[in-house]
Amino acid sequence: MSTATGTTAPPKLSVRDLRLSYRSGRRRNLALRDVNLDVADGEFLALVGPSGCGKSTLLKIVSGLVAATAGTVAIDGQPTRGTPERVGLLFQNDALLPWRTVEDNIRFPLAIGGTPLPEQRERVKRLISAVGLDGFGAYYPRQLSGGMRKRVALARILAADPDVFLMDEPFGPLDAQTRARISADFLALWEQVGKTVVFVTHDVDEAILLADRVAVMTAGPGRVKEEFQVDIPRPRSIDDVRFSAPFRELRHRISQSLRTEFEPTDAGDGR
Amino acid sequence: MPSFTRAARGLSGRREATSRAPSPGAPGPDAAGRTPSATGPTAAGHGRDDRAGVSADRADTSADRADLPYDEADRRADRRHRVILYGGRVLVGLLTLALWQLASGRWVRAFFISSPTAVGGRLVDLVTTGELWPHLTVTMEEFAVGIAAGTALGVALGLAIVYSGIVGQWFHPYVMALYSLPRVALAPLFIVWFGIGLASKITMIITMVVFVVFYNVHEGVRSIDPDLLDMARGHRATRRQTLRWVVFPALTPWLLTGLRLAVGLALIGAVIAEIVGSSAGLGYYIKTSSNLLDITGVFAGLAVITTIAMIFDFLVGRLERRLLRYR
Repeated sequence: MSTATGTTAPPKLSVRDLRLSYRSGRRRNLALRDVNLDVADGEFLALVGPSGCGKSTLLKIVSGLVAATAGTVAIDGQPTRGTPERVGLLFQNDALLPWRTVEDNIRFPLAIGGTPLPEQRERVKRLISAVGLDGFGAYYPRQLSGGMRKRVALARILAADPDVFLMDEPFGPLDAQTRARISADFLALWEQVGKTVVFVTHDVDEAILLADRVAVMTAGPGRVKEEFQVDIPRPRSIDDVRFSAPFRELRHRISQSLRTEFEPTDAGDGR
Repeated sequence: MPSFTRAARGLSGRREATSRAPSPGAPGPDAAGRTPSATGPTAAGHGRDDRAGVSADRADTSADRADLPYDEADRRADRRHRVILYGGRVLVGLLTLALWQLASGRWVRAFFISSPTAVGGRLVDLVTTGELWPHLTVTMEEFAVGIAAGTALGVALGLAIVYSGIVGQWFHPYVMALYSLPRVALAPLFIVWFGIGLASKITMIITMVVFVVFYNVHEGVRSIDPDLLDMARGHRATRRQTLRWVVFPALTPWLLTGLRLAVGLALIGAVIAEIVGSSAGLGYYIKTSSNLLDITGVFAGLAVITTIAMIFDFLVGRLERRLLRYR
């Protein structure tokens, strides 16, 4: 359905010279340093990097939850202020409201946005089906497994229907099997809607399997170091892709690029 | 021992089962993943492989509760558990009363410790002669108004101090200093200021209640999961929407704990203020009985107060079960 638009198209999301410093005790630390990033409309970008490189922070800045020290974030060429309307953030932990049922949790963005209640219910019903949670609408998050909670969080972000999905290691705490299944389901959903995605992960395999493009970040202070185009045709079958030659070759190159980031000599010399 | 914990788990599972079950068409909670036929292939399939994730996700240990099969054996274990629990409780109470009855007049002079039968007889007298009602209604009125005002004030103060930023920080240590005041010592002062009527009693109860509620709200707000607040902000929720969907529900357990403690404290406050200066109320009755060396009367008054405390504790417990059933 969707194709990654070429570099000539205006970027959906544009990050320019983004910098974030914070005070820690008496020192000021630099978390992000001159981050530049363009994401085209409908493109799936994966961000990989060592832990602590500010990947999550970058997403929080784009979604307006953290204020940058310097630099701009623009959506459709318009610089953002506060919490941008067309951006949705999927949290690392699922951030479900424990006192609300699955239905109510998914309904949350619609209720906040003032959608009439009958329409809310109608859409929630469809979303519950879309993420494969039929019959669980009246359950509380506590009663669900980790994988099912992820699906609820996913349905909630789909209810908000943003143009740009920001996903912060969304499937991180799951076990490998559940993760593979949810990734596959998510990929299928995304290939239908074709919205812009920025997907943070530390898993190179996951990044290549899902994304059109993989950006590697440096160890803190974070900066975009290198970008890799993923030329694997869609729709992708995760199981097939994993054993293909282009996948293995790309994984090798990205791992190389990342590996240097994990070496202590590189981390400190402020390249 | 193992069967005991199993019974307890079964008990909580059952409570969820009855409080949930939204519509007759919905699959039973215990069919969550165990019986694929009940939930349809998709959901059951996910349920099965997702459960593999439970072991990896430590925050998730209670998730299997939903899948706990609940059958006749569990029901029987529950029943036995309840019989042991409540039977034992009643037994402890009865034994204590029996020991008291035995001691009275045998080991200790009945004048000093009265006896359960004497106290019981007095309670019957108090009810039949109608002497109890004016005292009871006065104390209950003080209690109701005092606890309502104290709780409201505590919530308002807690929210104000947390959300007023630096200004709240200025006031916070003074609130804690006031908390450490022995409020019993203030009772005479309140009588001087507000007279021996309702006002002084309510003031006393408020000073007893407000701090517990304040402290619980304060801690409660600070312990709200920041991710939930970020989530609300990310969806551009207004302040009111955030309060409704996130802050107040998160505060509910804290408020209930505060309320539970407040019930006892409010009764203490009412009785103390009544003892210091009043013309009616259970505290007044206790004081006059005590002045007349009528120990039976003192115990009868205490029994009524204890009963009130237990009733309200039970009611708050009920409310808690209802409001916190999501746990």
